[in-house]
Amino acid sequence: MSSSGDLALAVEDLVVTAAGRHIVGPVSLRLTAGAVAGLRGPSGSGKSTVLRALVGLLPAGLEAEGGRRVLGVDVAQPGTDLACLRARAALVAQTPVVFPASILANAAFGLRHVERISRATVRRRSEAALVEAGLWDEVANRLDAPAEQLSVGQRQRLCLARALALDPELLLLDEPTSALDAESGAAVEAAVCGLAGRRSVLIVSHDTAQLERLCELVVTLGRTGPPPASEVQASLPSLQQPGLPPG
Amino acid sequence: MTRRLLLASVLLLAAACGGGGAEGGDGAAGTLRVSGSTTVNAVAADAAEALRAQGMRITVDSQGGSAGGIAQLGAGEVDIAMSSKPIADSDRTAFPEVDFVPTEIGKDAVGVIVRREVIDGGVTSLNREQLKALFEGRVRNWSELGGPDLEVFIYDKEPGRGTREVLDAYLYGKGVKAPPPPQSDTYAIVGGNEETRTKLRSTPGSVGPLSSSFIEGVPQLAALAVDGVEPSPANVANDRYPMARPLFLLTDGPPAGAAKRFVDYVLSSEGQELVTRHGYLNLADLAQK
Amino acid sequence: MTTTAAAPTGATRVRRRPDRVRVAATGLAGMAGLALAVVVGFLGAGLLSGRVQWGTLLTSATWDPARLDFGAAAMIWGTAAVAVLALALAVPVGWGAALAVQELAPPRWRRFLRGAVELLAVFPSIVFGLLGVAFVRPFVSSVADVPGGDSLLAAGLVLALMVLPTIVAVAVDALAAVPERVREAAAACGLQPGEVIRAAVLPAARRGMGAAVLLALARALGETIAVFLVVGRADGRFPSSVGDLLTRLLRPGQTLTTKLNGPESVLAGTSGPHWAALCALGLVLLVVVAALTALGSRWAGVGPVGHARGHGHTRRRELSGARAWRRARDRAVRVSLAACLAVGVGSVVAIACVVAIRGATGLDPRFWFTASLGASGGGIRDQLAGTVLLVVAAALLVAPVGLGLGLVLAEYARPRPARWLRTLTLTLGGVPSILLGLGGYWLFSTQLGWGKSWLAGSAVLAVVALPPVAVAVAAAVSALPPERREAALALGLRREQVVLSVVLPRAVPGLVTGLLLGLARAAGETAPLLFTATVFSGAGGLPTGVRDSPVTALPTHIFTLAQDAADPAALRSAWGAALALVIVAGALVLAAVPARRRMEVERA
Repeated sequence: MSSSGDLALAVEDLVVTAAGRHIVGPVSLRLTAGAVAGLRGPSGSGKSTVLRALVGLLPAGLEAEGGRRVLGVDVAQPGTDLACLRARAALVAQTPVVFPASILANAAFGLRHVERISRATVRRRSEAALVEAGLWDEVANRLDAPAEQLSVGQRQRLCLARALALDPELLLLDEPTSALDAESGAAVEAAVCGLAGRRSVLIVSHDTAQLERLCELVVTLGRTGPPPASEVQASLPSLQQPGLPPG
Repeated sequence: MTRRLLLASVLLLAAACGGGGAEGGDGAAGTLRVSGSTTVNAVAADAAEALRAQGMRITVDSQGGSAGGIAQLGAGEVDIAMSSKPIADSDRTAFPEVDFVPTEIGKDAVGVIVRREVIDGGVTSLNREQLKALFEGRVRNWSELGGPDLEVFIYDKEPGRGTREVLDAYLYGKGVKAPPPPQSDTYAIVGGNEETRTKLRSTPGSVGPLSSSFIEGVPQLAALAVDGVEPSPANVANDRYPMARPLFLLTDGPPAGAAKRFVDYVLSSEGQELVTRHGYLNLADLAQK
Repeated sequence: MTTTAAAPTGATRVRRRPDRVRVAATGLAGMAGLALAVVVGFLGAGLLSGRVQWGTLLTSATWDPARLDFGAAAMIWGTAAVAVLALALAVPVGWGAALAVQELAPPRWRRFLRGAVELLAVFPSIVFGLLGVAFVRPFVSSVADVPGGDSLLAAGLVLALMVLPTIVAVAVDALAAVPERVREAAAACGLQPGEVIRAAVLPAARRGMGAAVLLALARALGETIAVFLVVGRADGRFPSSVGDLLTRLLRPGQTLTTKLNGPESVLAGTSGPHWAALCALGLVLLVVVAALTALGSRWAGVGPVGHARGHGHTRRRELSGARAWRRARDRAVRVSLAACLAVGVGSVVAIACVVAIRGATGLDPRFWFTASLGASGGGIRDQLAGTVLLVVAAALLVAPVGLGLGLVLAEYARPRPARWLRTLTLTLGGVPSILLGLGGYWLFSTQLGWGKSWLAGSAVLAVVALPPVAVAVAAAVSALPPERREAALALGLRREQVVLSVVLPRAVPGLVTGLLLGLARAAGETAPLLFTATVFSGAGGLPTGVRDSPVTALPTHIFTLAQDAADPAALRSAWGAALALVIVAGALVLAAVPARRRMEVERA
C-alpha cells in the first residue's frame, strides 16, 4: 500500500485551549503508514480531545494550535475540506452511536454519502466491513433488523464497521473497549489486530496492558500541562521505523 | 418589596370590590347601562360624556347592534336599548313580559353608499328591483347598471343590525324574511358603521348600506339616490326618501329614574344639537317639515 | 439497676395528621379542573337546550339562523383552509430557522437568536390584527386582485406570522435534545454539515419537530381576533370543485372562531336551536384543538427517538456524488437555512419597527394619561387602568391556583397520573380564548347575572394565564436536587414541613416567572374581554362593585379603533394603544428573563 516513510500522521506541538485556558498539549507524534500506535493517559488528560483535534471535530469553544498533517492534509489550514478528510481518517468514538435504521444501513451510513458508487457496491463494501470488524457472524441473518437490538459490544463493532466501510487509510479509535465487558472487548481487540498493516491505526486508551498488546508504540500524555521533557516519546527514532510490511 | 406589592394589589382590589354587589335595575350602585345600534351610539356616547361630567354613571356599549340592544333590554341586562329601526312584532313576541317603549330622538337615512367613481361613472340612482338584484349578487359588474366597468363588491351588515333591517324592509317588505346571503365571491360581512365605512373606502367598486351621515367628510364615498330620491335632509324629513328611519331609545316601560334623565337630556336642546352634529335630523328639523 | 425503656412518644403509634399543604394544593389544583369543566359544561348545556342536527351541521354550507338552517361546512372549510395556509408558510420557515439557530449558529449566539424569534410571541394577537388591517389586506388586494383584501389568504398570512414563534421554540427544543455525539458520529463518517443534519439530527428529532407542527396548528385553529378583522366573515362560501378551491382562498370566508366572536353569540340567547348550533361549533373547535394540543404536548416531551420500523439500506438512494458538488449543495442548504432564520428575525424587527413608528403617539407620556375620545382617538388612560386592574386581579386569582397545580404536578401526583395531568394542563392552555370568553359570559354574565364585570374578565384571564404558571412552578420544583429533600426527611421533618421549607422556596421563583409570562399572554387577550368585561364607553376610572362594573382595556380598545381604520385619528390612536400594549406585554416578558436564566443556571 504505502511505502515506508509515508507518514499517516504528523503532529507538532499540538495545544488545545478553551477560552485561553490550557486543556492539553503540547503533543507531538508521528505515525508511519500501516503502523498501530497508542496514546495513553489517565482519564481527563485530554486524549480524546487530541483525536478530535486531528480531524476538526473539536467541540465548540475549544481551539487547537500546532501543526497537524493527517494523510498529507494540513488540518490547521482554514479552508481544508475536513468532511472529505474524515472519510479517509475515520474516527470511532468511545460511546457507540447507532442511527435509527437497520444494521446494514448503519454500516453503510457514511459510505452512502461519501462516494458516487452503486447500491450493489455499497452493500458489498458494508458487508465486507462487518466482516472486518468481527461482527458478521452475529448479524449475518438479520441485516435489516433495527440496530437498536444490538448489545453495547455489538454496537461498538458496528461503529467500527461503519468506519471501515469507508475504507479509510487511517483509523482513530477512542477508547474502543472501555464501555465493553471482557468478551466483547476481546472481540474488538481481535478486529483491531486484523487491521494492522493494511491501515494505520491510532488508539486512545487508559488501559496500558491493552495498548501494549495491540500497539507497536505508545505515547503517554500527562495529566495537565505540558508533560516533562523526559516523558515525551514523540520524536523517538523508533517512530520513524517503517511499519509492518504491507499485507 | 414583593410583600408590599402584594399588599398594594389586594388593597386595590378591595377598593374595587368595595361597592359590593348592588342589586336593582340600575346595575352597580346606579350605573345606567345603554347598549345597541352604532348609529345611535354616536349620539348616546356624547350624551353620556356630558352627563358623566354632571356626576352620572353611565356605560355605553354597541357590540350587538340594534338587535343586540333589544335582546339585552329584553333580558334585563341593560336599561336603555339604542335602535335604528322600529321595533318589530317579532321582538315583542320574543320578550312578552317586556313593555318596549320607544322614544324617538331623531331621524336618519340608510344610504346605499358606493365609491365616488361609481357615481361619477354614471350610476346615480337605482330602483327597488335593481337594488334587489345588486344585493342578491345577481349584478356582477357596474356596467350592467350603466356604470363604469368595475366589479361589484357587496358589503352587507351583520344580521340584526338596524341598518340592514331597514334595507331588507325596503327590498322585501316588512316582516318578510330576507333571502340567505348570496353565494357570490364578492360579498363580505361588516359589523358596525365605522367598520362599514372603512371597508367601503378601501374597496374599489364596493356598495353597502350605511347611515348617510357617516359619509360626511369622506370624499371617496357617496350615496346613491333611490327611486330618484336623494337622501337629503329635506327628503328624509318628509319621508320621500324610502329608507328614512327614526332613531330610538327603548326602555322597559316609560323611562324612569336615571334612564329618564338620560332620555330627557337627549331630547333637550343640548342633546338634539348632538343629533345634528352627527349628521342626523333632530326632532326640530322633523317638526318643521 | 432497672432501666425502663421509655416508650417513644408517637413513634410506634403513628397518628397520621392529614398533610394540610397537600390538601390545600389539591384543592387549588381542582379549581383548574373546574375551569375546564365550566367550558365543557356550558357547551354541553347549550347543546342540550336545542336539538342539533349534526348531519346537516357538518355537511351543509348554508348558515341562515332566520330560517333555522345551521350548516357549518363552510366554516369548517374556512378554518381548515386558513390553518393549512398558515402552516404551509410557517412550517418551512420555522423549521429552517430552528435548524439555523441550533445547528449552524455559534453557541454563543443561540440563545439570543432563539429569543429574537420568540419575541414574536410577545405581540398580542390584536396587534397582528391591526397589522393585518393596515398591511396584509392592501397587500392581498393589490397582489391577488381581491377587492378590499378580505380573504382567507389574508387571514392565513397573518396567522403564519403568529404561529412562527411556536414552531421555532418547540423545534429548537427538539433539536437541542439530540445529543452531541450523534452529530459527531455522523461527521466522523465524513458527512458535510448539511448532510449531518438531514441524515442524523432530523431523524432523531422528528417527534419534536412534528410536535412543533401540531402545536402550531392548534394555535392557528384557535385564533380569533386577528382573523376576525381580515377574513371577510362571509357565510356559506364553500368550494364547489377542486379548481374552485384556489379561488375560494382569495375570497372572503368564515371560520369557526370568527363566527363565535360575532354578534350571534349575544343575539342567540342562551338556549334554543340557534344557541345550540353555536355551542356545537364550539364543541367541534374544542375537541379538535384539544386533541392536537394533547398529542403535540406528548410528542414534544419525548426525547430523541429511536427506531421502530426496519429500514433496508435500499430505502432511498441517497444522492451521493462528487466532492465539489457535495460542497456546493451543502453551501446551498446552509444558505437557505440562514435565510429562514433571517425571515424569522426580520419579521420581528419589521413588526417592532412598524409598531414603534406608527404608534409614535404611544411614546408620548401624555397619551398614556389622557382619557380617550370615544372611538376616534384621544388617550388611553382609562384603558391602561383597566388593563392594569384586570391583570393584577388575574394575578391574584391565578397565583394560588397555579402554585397548587404546579405542586400537584411535580410533587404530589404519582408519575402516570402526573403525566396525564400535565397533558391536561397543556391542553387547557390550548383552548381557544374565544371559548373561554363565551364560557365566562355564560357563567358570570348570564347565569350569575353579573352583566359585564371586571371580575369576570379577570377570572377568564386567570384561566388563560394558568397553564404557563403551573408548568413553570412544576419545572422549578422538579429541578430541586433530590438530596435536599432527602436531607430534610432524614432530619425527621414531615412531608408537609418538607414541602413548606424546602420545596416551596424553590417553587416561588418558578411562580414569578410563570406569572410574568402567563400575564403577558393574558394582557393581550381580546375576545374573552369583549364578552365579559368591556364596553364601548363609559367605563372610566376604577369600577365600584362587581356586578355590572365593566372596564375598558387596551386590547378591546384597539379592536374597536381598528374597525374604524379609515379614520386617520382613530388609526393613529390604535397604533399608539398597540405600542402601549406591546410595551406592557414586553416589559412582563423581559422581567421574566433574568428569573428564567437564573433557573436555567441552577438546573445546569
